[in-house]
Amino acid sequence: MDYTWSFRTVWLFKEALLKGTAVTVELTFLAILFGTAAGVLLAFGRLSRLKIVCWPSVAFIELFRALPLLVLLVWLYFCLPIVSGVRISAFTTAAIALSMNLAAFAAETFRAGIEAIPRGQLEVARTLGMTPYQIRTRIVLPQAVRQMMPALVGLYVTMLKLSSLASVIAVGEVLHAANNIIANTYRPLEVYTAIALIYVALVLPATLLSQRLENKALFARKQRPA
Amino acid sequence: MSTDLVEGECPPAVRAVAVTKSYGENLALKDVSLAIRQGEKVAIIGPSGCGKTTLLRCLAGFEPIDAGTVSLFGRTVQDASRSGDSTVYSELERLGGRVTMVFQHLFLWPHMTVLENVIEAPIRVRGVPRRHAASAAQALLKRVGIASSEGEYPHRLSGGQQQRAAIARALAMEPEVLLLDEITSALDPELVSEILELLEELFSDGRTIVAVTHEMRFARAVANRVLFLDGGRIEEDTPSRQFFAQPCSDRARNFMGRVLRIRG
Repeated sequence: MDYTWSFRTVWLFKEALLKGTAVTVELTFLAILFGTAAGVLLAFGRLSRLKIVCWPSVAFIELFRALPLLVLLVWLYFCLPIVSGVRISAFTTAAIALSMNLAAFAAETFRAGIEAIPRGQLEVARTLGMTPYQIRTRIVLPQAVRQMMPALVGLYVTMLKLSSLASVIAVGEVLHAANNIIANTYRPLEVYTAIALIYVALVLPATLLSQRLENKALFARKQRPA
Repeated sequence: MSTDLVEGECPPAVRAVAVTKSYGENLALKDVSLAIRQGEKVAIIGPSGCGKTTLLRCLAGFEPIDAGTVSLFGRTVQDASRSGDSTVYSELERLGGRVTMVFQHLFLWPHMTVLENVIEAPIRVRGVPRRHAASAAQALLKRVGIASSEGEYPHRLSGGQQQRAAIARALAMEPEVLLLDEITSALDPELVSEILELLEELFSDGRTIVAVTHEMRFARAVANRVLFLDGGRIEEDTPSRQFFAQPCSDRARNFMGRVLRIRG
């Protein structure tokens, strides 16, 4: 290949890249925070016996699992302002879209975790006089979270990678920063390579953490050797 | 049958009136009425599939009934003529652990240590300070013989130890009525007599016990009244001494004959 690599050009823009990385992390963090919280509520909502709680939860989960994130982003950014007259910043739009997407998937993950808990454990709690709220927070959630941790970390990693889609609506995350640098330097090979490395550096620790949690979850389920 | 209540007397601990329960086509309980006074120790026995466990679960409020009413301490916890099982649950909640059940499969909470399992309900439901709850729990664990396992997680205990932990967890709420669902049937045979001895000793106080059991030894030793169920009906309701001497109904006689032949 007749090409002279010049990573020095990339290095000149290290601050822009770093800033973009910070935005990526921030966006992902917000999505994880709100998406997880909403996911827990949606999971309990879906399992509720009250139809007025159950049906909207099911509708939300199925809608946002079906919508491709890119379509959701574009629709929220370009169509929603026209339909509703409300204009929100690109960053907020991206945070909302990512949160909704994560919430839908996390809800299903949580539901699986909740349903895996033997009903008898909850009936015992009931005969001991615990309230539904106490049963949820003291018996159900701690176990569901422990069991679902590996799957949840997997979702979080996916969220980090999906946050690159926000570049489409000009959110200044790392991929968007890269495109700007390429426009100035005409060095796409170096810049995209750098971006790839940045993502690997962000994702690898999370993947390792997920593996450790997975071992721990398996460990907890099995009888521990004395 | 002793379901009639004299005006002004304190209400029976457990009362069922004309309870019927079916699963699809299967009629599990047919028109079952009973009243259990405080302090009575009742063994519910009968062939498998006769509705013993279903009856206990209906009394505890876990199975919605199709007809009749169930009340605990004079409070209606199930009334088939009024719909909605949410009312059932809220009444049970207000009873706050006065009626507690121990299950065949124990269902210890696996994410908590033995001590945490025992102190959870006293702390959350009764608002007992943690330190007090813990020292009371330690005394209880000593009584049931697993004082040294308080810091262990349930899965590290043997079956017998888990059984003891589950009993301690139920007793920690000092329930006035204890519902026991075949609590020895998941144990190894050599552990059963050990647990039975413990139960005999623990239940010699004034607590009301309603126990579904296959263990005639337990029924004989602990119960002062026997309900014999067959085909979803109470076939016999007699003091245990009389029952074990000579059951009145043919079905009970047949059943006891079979049980004794298997044991003998």
